Amino acid sequence: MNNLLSRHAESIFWLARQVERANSTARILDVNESFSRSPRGEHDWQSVLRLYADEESFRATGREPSADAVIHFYILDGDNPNSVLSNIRMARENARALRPLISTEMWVQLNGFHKWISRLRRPDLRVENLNRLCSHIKESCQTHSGITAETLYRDESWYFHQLGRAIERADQTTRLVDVKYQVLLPEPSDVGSPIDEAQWNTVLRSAAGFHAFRRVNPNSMSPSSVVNFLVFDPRFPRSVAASVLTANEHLNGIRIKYGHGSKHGASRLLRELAAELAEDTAADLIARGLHEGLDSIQAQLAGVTSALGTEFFLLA
Amino acid sequence: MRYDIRHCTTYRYSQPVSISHHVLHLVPRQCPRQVGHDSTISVSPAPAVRSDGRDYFGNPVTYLTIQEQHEEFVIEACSTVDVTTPPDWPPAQSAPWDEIYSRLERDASPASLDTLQFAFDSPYTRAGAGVAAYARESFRPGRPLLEAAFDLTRRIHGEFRYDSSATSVSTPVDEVFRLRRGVCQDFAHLQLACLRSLALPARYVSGYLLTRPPPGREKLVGSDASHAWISVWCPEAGWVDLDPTNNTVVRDEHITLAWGRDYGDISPVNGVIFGGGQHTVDVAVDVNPAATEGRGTA
Amino acid sequence: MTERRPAGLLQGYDPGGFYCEMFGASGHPAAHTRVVRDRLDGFSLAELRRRAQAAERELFNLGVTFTVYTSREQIDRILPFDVIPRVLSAAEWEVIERGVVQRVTALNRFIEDIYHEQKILRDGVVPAELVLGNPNYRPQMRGLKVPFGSYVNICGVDLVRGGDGRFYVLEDNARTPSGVSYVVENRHLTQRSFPDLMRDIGVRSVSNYGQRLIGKLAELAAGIDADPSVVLLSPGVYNSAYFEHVFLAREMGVPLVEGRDLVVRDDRVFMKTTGGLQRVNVIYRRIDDDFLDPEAFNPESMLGVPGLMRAYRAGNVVLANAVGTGVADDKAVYAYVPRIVRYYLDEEAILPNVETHICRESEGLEFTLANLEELVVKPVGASGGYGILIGPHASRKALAEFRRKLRADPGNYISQPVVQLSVCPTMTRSGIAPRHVDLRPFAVTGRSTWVLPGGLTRVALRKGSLIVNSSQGGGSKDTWVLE
Repeated sequence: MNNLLSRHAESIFWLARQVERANSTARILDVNESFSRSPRGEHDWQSVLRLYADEESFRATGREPSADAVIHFYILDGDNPNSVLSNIRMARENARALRPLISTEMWVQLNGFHKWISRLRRPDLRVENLNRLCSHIKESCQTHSGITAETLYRDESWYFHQLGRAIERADQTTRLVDVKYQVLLPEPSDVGSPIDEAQWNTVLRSAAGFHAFRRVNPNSMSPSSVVNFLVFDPRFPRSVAASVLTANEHLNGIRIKYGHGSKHGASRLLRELAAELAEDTAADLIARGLHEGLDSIQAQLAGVTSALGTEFFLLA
Repeated sequence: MRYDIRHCTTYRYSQPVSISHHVLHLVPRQCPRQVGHDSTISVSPAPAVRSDGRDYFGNPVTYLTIQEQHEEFVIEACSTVDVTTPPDWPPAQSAPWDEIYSRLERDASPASLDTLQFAFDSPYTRAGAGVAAYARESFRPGRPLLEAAFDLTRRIHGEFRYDSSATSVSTPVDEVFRLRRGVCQDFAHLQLACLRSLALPARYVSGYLLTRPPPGREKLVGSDASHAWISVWCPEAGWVDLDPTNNTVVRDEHITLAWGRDYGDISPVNGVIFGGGQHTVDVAVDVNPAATEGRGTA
Repeated sequence: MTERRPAGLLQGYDPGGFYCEMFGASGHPAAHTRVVRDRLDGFSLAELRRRAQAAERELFNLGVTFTVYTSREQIDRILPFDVIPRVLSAAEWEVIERGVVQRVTALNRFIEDIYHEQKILRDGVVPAELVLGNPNYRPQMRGLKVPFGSYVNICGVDLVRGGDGRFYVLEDNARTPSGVSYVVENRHLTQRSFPDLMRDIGVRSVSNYGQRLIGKLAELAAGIDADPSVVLLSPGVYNSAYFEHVFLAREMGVPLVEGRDLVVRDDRVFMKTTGGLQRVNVIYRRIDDDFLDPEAFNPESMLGVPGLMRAYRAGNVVLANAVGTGVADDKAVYAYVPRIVRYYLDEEAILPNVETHICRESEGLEFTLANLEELVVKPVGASGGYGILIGPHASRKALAEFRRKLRADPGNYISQPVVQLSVCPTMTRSGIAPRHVDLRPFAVTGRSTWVLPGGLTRVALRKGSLIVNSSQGGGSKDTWVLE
């Protein structure tokens, strides 16, 4: 039986992350656009830059952080590794290298997605078109997931794909909560006001969790309950906790089904993170310092990725 | 004459190298005018894999794989060799150059075929019509081979300037010809291109020159470094070594390391590294008469 | 007696004096194509065009492309597919098959001899210069033993059919022959877009190529491992034939690897997997010799595996095709292949070369000079496509100039008459018209040689053109060998 090439494992892991990242980016831009309609929103395009720690790279473009400029930066700027174009371009190159393993439909869809993005021009990115544009991006990303689920053979490559997607999701959610929370640190006079609620709605919508949250918390909307939902609630699929559990499940699958990887490498790091998330609460996290706490989770996820590299992708 | 040779090559890398493979041609081969004695190659860091053997031309060759991370790589090759001056053959009594190829082809023995393979272009010695025309000036029809070859050697020496900044390892022969400058490797490739344009078998030879000349003699260009010259086939005298950089026939001050079609076949240190960033190379060569008739101390 | 053609698609089709694959020699339609012709006649041109469009869509969907890279973008092109098949009778194929097997056997014996005793050179049958001076001659292969003396494990022999209806060899491809993926895919396309054309006609299958190929490769490694591990080594996604590499890897069920996936330890080859280093026994390599191992060949190649030649020399890995087979497939040696067949097999070549005159030899030179206006003269050196003279199209001045070149360096040239390539009905913008075709059968050799029934039929899509290359306006057809 032939094992999965390290290079292929690495490619499909990153392909999943790249599509998920594009998905998140589109979602965040879309929600931001709605949010920035409110009077207090003039600065909020900058919050997107903060979310991805892109303030410096954006400054290098020499432009002002207007809506148009930031939207272009995150959708079409080929020099920005966090743009949708960059991510889908890399995903497509990974897919090309993975041709022997993936179905033709997977390839054709990503190829078509890339072609569509690379044909966009500035007029297509005007703020009034943003909603339609982001919907298309999100749909394409979802189509990719769908085709993958339907056609990718359930061998080791499937596990690496799902693992990549889950880790990226966890990471994206921590960033979202972190930035929004800082921006939205309410003035005492704002607490409970319509503006305050609108802001939290935005955070939840960015994570596609607005309706689910309302079902779970029909009466209250507080910083703490939103953080709890997005970070700790294992029932919400996009929460940090749920994503980490999914990632752990897939990494275990690789070990148990294929006998690859060790219990003590990336697996241990993920297990520890999952355990922490299971035991902690939003109130404690906020009390200790939300930003530091989320930073720490991101660092741990980066540690997991690095450990995966050593264990599976990089052999001397 | 017995000589002690010490050839030390040091690579320094700006970034760590994770794994590297090397092929070394650093042990002098046996040949009619030379007998090798002890020879050692020390390598640091110690290689995970080392194999010593012979390449397809019969040159001693060493393969190494270094599997530990390193930023410096040192090879020290020490050998002792006895060198004798080959007998001279009167140039005017060598066969006409234009008969040599057809004689070999007609004979078609394994030895002749082996010799014939050196009559053809090799990767480093392809050249254009200009070089061929240059060669022809020494090789008028019917001229004795050695006479013509000596003449060509003299002309290259006289008309080309030794200049180590003018060319690099990859400079093509046509460019060397145009610049009229180069180093010993370039002159050897040029002379090979000339001889092969006339279908004459000729080999590339790598080796060393005595570091300090005997009293009264001038120091030859190319000592303190590894050196390159050529060897041309003469039916009567066998392979005759000629040094275009110094316009001499090889006697007992040259030590042969290896021969092949060109530099690519026998470069002293060849390798593939993973990582490394930028690298610098330092080469130190010392060739001295052996201290005593027995094994000299380095 | 000429057959009266029924009214229909092929009405008005005129092979123009060339031998036609469908209709035979003018006035004598080939009997074995009768059923196909009748069926085709039942279609209208419009219907055929619809089938052709469906086939083209299918090509894109299947991803059967070759990729053209420019500095700004990548363009995936399909090799145009013509829906009208080229049909060979069982009897015709039997001759081709025997001829290909004979030729590949002789080439293998030749290569083995060149890298060992060199008897053929000593006996003066092939000039030493053509072999020892050949840039594809690899001294590193002297004395190296390969399993069963099989150097050319995959060979594509390019054949053309002349006006006399016989097949002639135009060229051998003994290094990394390509195109077999189109052979298999073209059959799929016909089955999908034209099933009614094929129904109830016994056509030999081509779908088992992958299994046959891996079977033969495994034969080569039987000495190393009873269950050998086989991989396909590709230069990677930027190679224009990448699709074929993916296709073959899938058909064989083996990993598609690049140089960086392999590593040599202790003179053995391993591939880097998620489960650690896994041993590799056989490498079907689609990388040229020069780029195979930076330690032994081009030191700047990033595509190869350092140390691969060492493992090869130690007998720890099988390379298909072997290193150094280019010495047998170049234009200069081509002219001598009939003599090579005679020398090693004591037989006449079943498939003759196109009539070739070797200007190195005085008779060949005389003939060429005397008949220059009617000949195609090709330089045999490494000059690419330049310097070819097409006599019938050349001016008096060009002919005189060429005569001078010939006299100055006769050893560099061979000459051949212009071959009247056969034609096949092909769909064009203006309807069904004759277009020139060739045939590339594929031979796979392990312990013995097997030939894929049929092979790649390339068709020159431009009217009157004899050039069938994909990059210059060529297409391909499904090739049927009748049972």
